[in-house]
Amino acid sequence: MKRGDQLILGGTFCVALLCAALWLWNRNAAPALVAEISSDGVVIETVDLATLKEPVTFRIESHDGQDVNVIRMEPGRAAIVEANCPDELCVRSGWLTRAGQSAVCLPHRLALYLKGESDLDGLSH
Amino acid sequence: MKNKKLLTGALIGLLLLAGLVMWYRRPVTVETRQLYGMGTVIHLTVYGGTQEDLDGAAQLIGRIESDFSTVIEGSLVYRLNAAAGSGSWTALTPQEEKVLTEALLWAKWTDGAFDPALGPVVQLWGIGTDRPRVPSEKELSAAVGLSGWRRLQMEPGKARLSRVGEALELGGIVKGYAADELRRFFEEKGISGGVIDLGGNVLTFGKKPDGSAWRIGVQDPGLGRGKPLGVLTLNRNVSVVTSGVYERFFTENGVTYHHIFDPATGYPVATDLSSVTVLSDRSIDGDALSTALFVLGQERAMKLVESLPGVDALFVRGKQVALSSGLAGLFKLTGDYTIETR
Repeated sequence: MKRGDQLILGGTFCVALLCAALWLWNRNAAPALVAEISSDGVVIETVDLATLKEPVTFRIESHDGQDVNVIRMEPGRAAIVEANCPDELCVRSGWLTRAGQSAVCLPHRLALYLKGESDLDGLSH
Repeated sequence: MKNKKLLTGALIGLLLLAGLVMWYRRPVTVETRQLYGMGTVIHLTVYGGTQEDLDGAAQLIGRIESDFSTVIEGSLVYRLNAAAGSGSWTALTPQEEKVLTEALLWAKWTDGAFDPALGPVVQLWGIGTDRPRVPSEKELSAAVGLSGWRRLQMEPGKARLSRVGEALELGGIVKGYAADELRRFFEEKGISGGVIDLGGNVLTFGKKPDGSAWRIGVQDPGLGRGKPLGVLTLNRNVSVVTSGVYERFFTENGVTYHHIFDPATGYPVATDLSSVTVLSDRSIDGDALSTALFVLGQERAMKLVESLPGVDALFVRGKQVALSSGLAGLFKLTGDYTIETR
């Protein structure tokens, strides 16, 4: 084989290996832990809890100001910390720390949901 | 010379093979939608589907809700209940007839433990509304007197309730029906797999992109939402429906009242069960059964489950978990409970 051919072939092989390596590495990279706030089914806020440096507080009010929920996000965890709904079930859910966990305020149609790589496909409750 | 040609060929072949493998194992799109419907939070996940498919699913959910809701004016249930005692029949669409027929079948099979005509009792307690209250004995006995699945009269294409005050309440079966319909909808769209979660009623269909088994958690009754007490690993598509006391309840004068009523007394059924999880092929069956098994209590419920082919159940009582025989090897405990040996 000519030297040039060898180089081309060797080069192509290396590129192929590099592509495969990149593809494999990408597939295994774990996504960060992301907190999602949705109001009435629409996502209104997304925060990457894995890269969050300082705590953040969100105060969410309905249009008429009657329904209030306060959400706090800290590195690696999030919670609905205050709410003026009748049963405060959402507040009692406490700190969410793992993907798939959620705190829902049904009366106010507000949900705090943690997404990421969860090992469960669903949770029956 | 021949060896070099062979080497070149082999390397190119390898490259092509790598390309082919990467093409076939390419990530399948995952689309999700979270919405409110049927009085609860709904999560839909589809593999190889689009947001338009999910729009269609949301519309389907809306149609089912407006047809079977007790409170939406113009719904079948609303009209049937309003006409109770008037003598007039209400016409049924084929789907409506199907849901009512299935509901009555389960009422018969469980001897009334699942009862689609507990409207008077449910309305009296108001659980799930913003004004739940403990009714008086007199009110309750009147409500129980007006309740019961035998009061629903059905003839081909029509139904009616014969006395004023009688009322259907299909909340215990509609989510199951909706899940099965959603599954059919997605399959007709050619979606390769997904998870339908209607307020905790889980139904899987098709396959996961990597073809692995479905992992479905079972909520720990004692911990916050999203924390399982164990995981079911399932190689077939199945509906997983849980009935429990820990989500819909209210407290008055220090006493907690849950929402699964004993049809005989009108009171929340006295039980030591915290939850019952039913596995079945169709979600409509799992939905009706999960309520019925809860009312029956573990002993009678387990006997019923063991006699039904294709149905399995998991019971949580205190810190004990009991499994029907079909679940052996499929459930892995992760919380601090013990599995009852039988």
